[in-house]
Amino acid sequence: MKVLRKGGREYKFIHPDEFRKHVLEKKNRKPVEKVLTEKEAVEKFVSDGDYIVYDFSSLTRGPQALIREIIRQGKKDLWIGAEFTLHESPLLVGGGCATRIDVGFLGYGPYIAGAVSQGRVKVYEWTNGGIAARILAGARGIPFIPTRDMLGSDNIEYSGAVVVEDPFTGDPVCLLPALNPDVALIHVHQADVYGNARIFGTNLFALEAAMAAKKVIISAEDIVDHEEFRKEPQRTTIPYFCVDAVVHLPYGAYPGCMPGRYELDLEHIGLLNSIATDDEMKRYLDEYVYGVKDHMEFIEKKVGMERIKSLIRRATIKEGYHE
Amino acid sequence: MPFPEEKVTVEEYMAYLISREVEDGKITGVGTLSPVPLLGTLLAKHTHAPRAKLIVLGDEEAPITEGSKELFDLAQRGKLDLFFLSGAQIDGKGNINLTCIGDYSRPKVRLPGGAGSAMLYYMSRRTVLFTLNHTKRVFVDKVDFVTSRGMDDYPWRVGGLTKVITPLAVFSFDRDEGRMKLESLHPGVTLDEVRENTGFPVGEEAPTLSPPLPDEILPILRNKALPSCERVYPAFAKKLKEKISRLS
Repeated sequence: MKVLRKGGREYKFIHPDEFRKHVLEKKNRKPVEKVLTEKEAVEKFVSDGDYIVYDFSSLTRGPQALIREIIRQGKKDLWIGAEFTLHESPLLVGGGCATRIDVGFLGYGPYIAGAVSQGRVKVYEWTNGGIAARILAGARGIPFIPTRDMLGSDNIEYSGAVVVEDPFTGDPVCLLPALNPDVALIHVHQADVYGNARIFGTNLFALEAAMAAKKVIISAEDIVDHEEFRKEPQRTTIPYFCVDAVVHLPYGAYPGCMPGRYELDLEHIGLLNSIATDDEMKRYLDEYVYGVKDHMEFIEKKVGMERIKSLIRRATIKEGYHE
Repeated sequence: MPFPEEKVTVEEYMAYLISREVEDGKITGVGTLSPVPLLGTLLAKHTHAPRAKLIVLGDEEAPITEGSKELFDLAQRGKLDLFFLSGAQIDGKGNINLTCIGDYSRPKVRLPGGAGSAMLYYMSRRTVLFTLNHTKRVFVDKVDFVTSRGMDDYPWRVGGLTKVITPLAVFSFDRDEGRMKLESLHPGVTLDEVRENTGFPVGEEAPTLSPPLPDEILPILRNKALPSCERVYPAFAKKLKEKISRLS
């Protein structure tokens, strides 16, 4: 195949056979209970140097409580890939956890823009559709995926994408390497103790991420009885055998929204957007991440149930009809 | 003189011009951070394009269940008729930059990145660029980083730039010359003003006037399109309503 253009930058890649071996040896098909606390799950399944992906982001159904726990535990040298990363990237970089980011979308606010300009974090330029396609290839067990993406963009020079002549049509086509992350963090509406999970409403690549990642941590608003999943198997978004840990984290997407459950907290998001300096970042992390022992203490002491209740009201009570 | 906001705000006027680009019965996508295009497409739906299908990222009622991934697959199949993009920099060839200002390795400003633009600019049948800032900082001679290209000869490219809508003027795209051409000036805007605020040549010809917003459209825009837009962009809608209430 004739290579037409190539950036040659570093990219995360595991040979499909190596991933297959991992699944065969490490993923248990027996339904065993996997419920852990967020502290246990992150200690056990997130290691320094890991590549992590999260389905969705800080505004919608993002695994925000798990991300705060990763920062609390001071994980190092993480490489993060997300179709959209909004507030996760500044927090993970500000907490000293992330050193490489595949974008997509780099994130909101002056802090992350400053960190990239100063060279404190390496960025590789993909597209959000491209990252989703890489994860799809990882889930399928194929080494790369052809797309009609990125062809005219300078992104090619700053990523691991390769433009080749398509042997079938003769036209140029952009090949993206499969992505098998070390860890996928996915926040869901319901899970059972074995890791079966349900997501209601909009979704980016939850199932693909769960199938492509070596280790999968699910955090759930509710833990429901396994019998409920058996009654309606077609509603299962992620099957248990992809999952390594289940963590019960009500309001785990806060300050983002959980579709149909609670709205996003614009005030807290405004606070995140305003972080510009290292001092401001330290103050935020001290107050909301290091200053509490776990997620429920964060919700009770730093957010308050009154505020949570108002976010629930805003998401669930709709009056009249609208188009 | 900029657009005179006497009866109509410039955001509403741009939304009206955008609405004219939406075709009935076809699929129009509206990405994130695009309140004015959303207002325009909703207006189209309430006027000439009731059967237009809208895919609005960020809307809880968007007709997609697999999120933006589904939008990209739709676009790759060539089913997306119209999409809206913007740029921190836009040059005369229609190239857009959403990545960084200055040299890539030592940027003056690092921007959030192109998101899906490197695909959607290629795979939407038509792309309309919009910006609320018509200045030389945005309309530059050459972008510092090509996040996505306005036109090139990739054989399968289904579309590209068709219109650029700004607070001062409308540009069209000349595919033979591969350059943006000034199509019309908004009411009250002079050619010199556009020239002074654009970093590439806009030509010597005095172009036509952008069409005025018809009186009967305004109440539809304010009473029907804006409330629907508010669901996705509450802060934008609130600001715009305050601005409308301050008009004479």
